[in-house]
Amino acid sequence: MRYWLIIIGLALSSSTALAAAPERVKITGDNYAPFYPDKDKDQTLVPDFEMDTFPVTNSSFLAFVKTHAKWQRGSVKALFADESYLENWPAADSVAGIENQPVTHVSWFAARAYCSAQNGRLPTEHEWEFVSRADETRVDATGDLAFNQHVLSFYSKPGGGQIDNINQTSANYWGLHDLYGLVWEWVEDFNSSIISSDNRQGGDKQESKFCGGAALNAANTREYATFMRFAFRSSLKSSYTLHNLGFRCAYDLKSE
Amino acid sequence: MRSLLPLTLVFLLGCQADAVTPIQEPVVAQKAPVQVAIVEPTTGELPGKSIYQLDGSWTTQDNKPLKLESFRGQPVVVAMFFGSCRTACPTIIADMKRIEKAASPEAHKNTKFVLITFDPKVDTPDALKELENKFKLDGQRWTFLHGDAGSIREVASVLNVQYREVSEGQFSHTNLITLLDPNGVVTTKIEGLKMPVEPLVAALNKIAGDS
Repeated sequence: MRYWLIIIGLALSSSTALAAAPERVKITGDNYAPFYPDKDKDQTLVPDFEMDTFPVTNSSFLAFVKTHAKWQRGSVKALFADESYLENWPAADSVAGIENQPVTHVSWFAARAYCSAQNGRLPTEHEWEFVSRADETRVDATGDLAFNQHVLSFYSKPGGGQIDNINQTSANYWGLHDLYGLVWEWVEDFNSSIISSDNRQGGDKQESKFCGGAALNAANTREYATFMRFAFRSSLKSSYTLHNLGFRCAYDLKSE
Repeated sequence: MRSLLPLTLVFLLGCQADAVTPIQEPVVAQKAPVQVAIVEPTTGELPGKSIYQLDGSWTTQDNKPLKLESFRGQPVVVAMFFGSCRTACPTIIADMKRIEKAASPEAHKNTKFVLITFDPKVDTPDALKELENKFKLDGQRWTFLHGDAGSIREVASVLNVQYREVSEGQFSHTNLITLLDPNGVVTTKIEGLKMPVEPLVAALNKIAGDS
């Protein structure tokens, strides 16, 4: 009996917590200095947009595949997702026990299709990097050693373990939860990170930043945490589905 | 910290491999067996790995709308580029012309050569038509494709082309020439510029002979 009460209590507390946060938040864009700047300027403008408060959960993704048969486990084509697609689900139509965990084992194509079905899209790399600089109170906390150590502590956690439910930690300045700590996240232009370029007009300065020596000489740990993300993204292919890689969606603002 | 290391090492190797590409790649390419022995039917459902499953809408240099699936039924040699690039892109077109020239008569007759632009703003269908003329390409055999940003990102992802706009109208990108079989499945590719084309031509001739 007590066991059941605990379960009900947990369910209530987690649903209350979820209800308390909006599904998505508006991000007021600004110029920021990207890790990988344009050739001609240090700052890039990120326009206003909206973003999901949380990473997409298994239960949300299940609702999507139920109405989009092409994306069900067992139906998806090899071009769009590799063989470990949704392999952590107990069954192709069940997420029992992992409802509120971020969905993982999803490919870039699957993530895009999900967001498209919500009239959204994947965030661009600039958008994701822009919002991920914030801590609880500041738009840009990357100058703070403690913040950077917090980020790096997640990146250095060994993979393969159990992934926690969303919404167990506080929101950042924008009202976004779980940018760090649970999963890595797909971005639309994941395949732009490392360039083996022969466009010699433009590439050399940036390329030198990416080859080992220069990157490891980066001035501060902020650069190193960001470098980790770029290196990770560059290792991906659009059909890959990984244990610790999920996503959230972004939305263009409706023109008024 | 320990788990950071493998990722970093992979990354460093990536840089290293890049630097030695001109020496290594042809050797690797010649070792790879040409796997075109079984020709699947080019009607009915597409194979699971066919890039012709991508649903993006494209426009040719002749302003014709097109889906990638319309290339089904013949071998295709495809690369991505942008027209205002003065160094790498003319070279990639020259490399493709070398493939065209070296192909067997059968392959020469049937193969399509496809160039997909990274830069839909500048490389409009009309601008692409000018490139066709400038490079003296046979419009029956060569198709330039103009599409939206999402379609370009998709096709780049399945061809393993990485690209980034590094300043207005200038792109850094991987140089890849990819051979697709008649069902749109990646068969082999050439990485880098001015590489030997023979391995790809051999695979192309085999496909053209079989189909």
